[in-house]
Amino acid sequence: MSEYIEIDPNEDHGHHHKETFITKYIFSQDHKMIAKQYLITGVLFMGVIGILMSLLMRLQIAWPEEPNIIFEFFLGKWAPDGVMDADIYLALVTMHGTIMVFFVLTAGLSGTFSNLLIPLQLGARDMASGFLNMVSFWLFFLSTVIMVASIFVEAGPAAAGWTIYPPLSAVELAQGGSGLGMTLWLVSMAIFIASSLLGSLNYIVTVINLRTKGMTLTRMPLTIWAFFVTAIIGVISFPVLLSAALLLIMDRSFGTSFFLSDIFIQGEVLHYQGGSPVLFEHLFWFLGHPEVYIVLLPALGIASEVIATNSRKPIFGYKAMILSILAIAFYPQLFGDIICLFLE
Amino acid sequence: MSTFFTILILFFVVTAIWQIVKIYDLTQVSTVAKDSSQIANDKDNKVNGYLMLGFLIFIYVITIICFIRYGDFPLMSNSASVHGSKIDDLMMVSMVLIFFVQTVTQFFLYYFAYKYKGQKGRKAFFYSDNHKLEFLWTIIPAIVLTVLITYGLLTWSDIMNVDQDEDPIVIELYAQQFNWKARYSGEDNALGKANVRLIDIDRANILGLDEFDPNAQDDIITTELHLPVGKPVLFKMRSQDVLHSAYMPHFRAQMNCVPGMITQFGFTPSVTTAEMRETPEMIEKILNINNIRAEKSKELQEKGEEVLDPYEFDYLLLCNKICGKSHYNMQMKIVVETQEEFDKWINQQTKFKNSLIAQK
Repeated sequence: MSEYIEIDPNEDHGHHHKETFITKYIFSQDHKMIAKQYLITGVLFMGVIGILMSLLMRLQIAWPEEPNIIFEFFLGKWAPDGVMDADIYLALVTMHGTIMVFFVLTAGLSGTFSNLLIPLQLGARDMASGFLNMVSFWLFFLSTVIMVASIFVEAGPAAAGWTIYPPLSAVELAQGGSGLGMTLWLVSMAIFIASSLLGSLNYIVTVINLRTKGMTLTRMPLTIWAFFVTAIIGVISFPVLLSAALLLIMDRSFGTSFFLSDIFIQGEVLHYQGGSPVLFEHLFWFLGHPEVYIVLLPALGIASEVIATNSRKPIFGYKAMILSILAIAFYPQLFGDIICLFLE
Repeated sequence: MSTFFTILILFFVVTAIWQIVKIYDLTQVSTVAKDSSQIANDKDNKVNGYLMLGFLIFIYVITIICFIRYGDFPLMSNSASVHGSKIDDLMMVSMVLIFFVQTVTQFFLYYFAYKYKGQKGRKAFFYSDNHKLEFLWTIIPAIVLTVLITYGLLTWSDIMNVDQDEDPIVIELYAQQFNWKARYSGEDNALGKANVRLIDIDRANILGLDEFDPNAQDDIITTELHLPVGKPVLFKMRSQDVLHSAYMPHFRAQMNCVPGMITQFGFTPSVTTAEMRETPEMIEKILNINNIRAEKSKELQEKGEEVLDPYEFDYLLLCNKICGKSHYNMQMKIVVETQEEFDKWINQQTKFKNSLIAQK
């Protein structure tokens, strides 16, 4: 691996051609503009929706059973006479969890800060592939639109909790929200994962290949180390959630029994046999557990760098910090599984 | 519609205030130009330093107030099962440890932010590595965590280990949206085979028992869970539709109910319902609840609605995994009683073979 790449001065890399409004602000390949797009879509737009949902839940908990004009205004038919329906409460829990964990904390945080800071702090002109970066954002935007659209479905949005354990999420008879709402949820998540993978691959390639002269791996700012490791965890664990989502779609729409078995609901026995919801739990938490590090690590990296810079000091124990970031990321994955094997 | 206008007006008011503040800011720049520098001076640093210290004092004071006002020591003490005290001890050890570490590290965080605040003429001390120190503060937490986790694992395997020699009563907990059923295994202490495919609502075979299995004949299906005190119980959990979780908080017990699978959990109840009602903590708690209910009843009476009955303590089996619309209300009463009371109650229940409705 070369420590840096030489840029041919005749190649005219970073210099952007004459840009129209569309190439500059909408289908932009510039990492700074994409970072801003992520900030607006992920953190501001989805963040506000997520916070509003939590406020509705809090209002319900603060004055249970009492009619509230706010519910009537925001929830319409889901709050007859201003009393919140039990189904929509679960739907709020589900959508709030999904939006906050995936859209704000994963895509919003990584998308904004990784895109903005990785090229700047590495001394690269832009991301390894500006085009992939653009595709990644627009897939994210598409999944955002689908997720927000699913809130307005007639039978209600997904309401099986953000972990969407089957059979509750798989059988429409179990819950109104497990119909079209859950289908849209799964489609949105599948697109979201594709976007996240493209983004992560781009970050990894940029960090490995596009460091400027002299920027060795052990001189990289801790922020970039954190983003780098976060991207690696994302690439390892998100595909597992994708497979779980696809298998769930198969169970829901094509009659397979990956996660379902022996179900009697509303007076009828369903045909599913031989599957196990526990399999879904394992597949989900193969992402769910690393997900907390995907959320935590960028914040750790940013805090380290901000505090060190503002104290006018080098970060204390730089190499130890890199080692701990790597340990946080991979130790639980590797050793957790080994310990589980021994326990079984 | 009026709500919409109210929100719109509120939005405009906030926007107006924001704009006024912004204009005010802009006017300030020109008049006090010399002080508009972005670089923090000694005064700024001092204010920030004292704010850090102030926040430290704030969180300590809040903690102390919470302890005095809401503190309930020891944290958990009224478990009603033999193994419950082990879980309570584990909880207590973890909480004390976490509390100690939190108190100390928060002190360092805010105190150092105050002590080493920026000051003109003070130069940052270059100090980038100390392997001994790093080694120390990595190894100590690692050891403490290993001890905690091992302690937790040992407690868990101890609780989950059901001793068959003690001859536990076998009871099935059957979960469905949104209620619980209990199935006692009867005199043979063996549950009959069952599968949801055998459910026949018309014949009142609601749990899908195998009618031809000799073990199933004396099984007893109930909607209330009665347990004799001091006798080990082994629960076998089943679910007919979605994931549920059998949660018995007073007995420190919980296990998922998975469709297509049988899970189990065993414990020995040690305090009867009557005894639990007489404990001083419970009397105080019930008094509090009933005071609130009495107040609410007064309110309801004025509106001409039905008043609330006074609350009486009962052990509960709850569902602890989101299972749909009425998940919040999926519960079953648990009664722990003496062996005589239990025998009397169980003899009044109908056996499975007698509960079936004959086919026409």
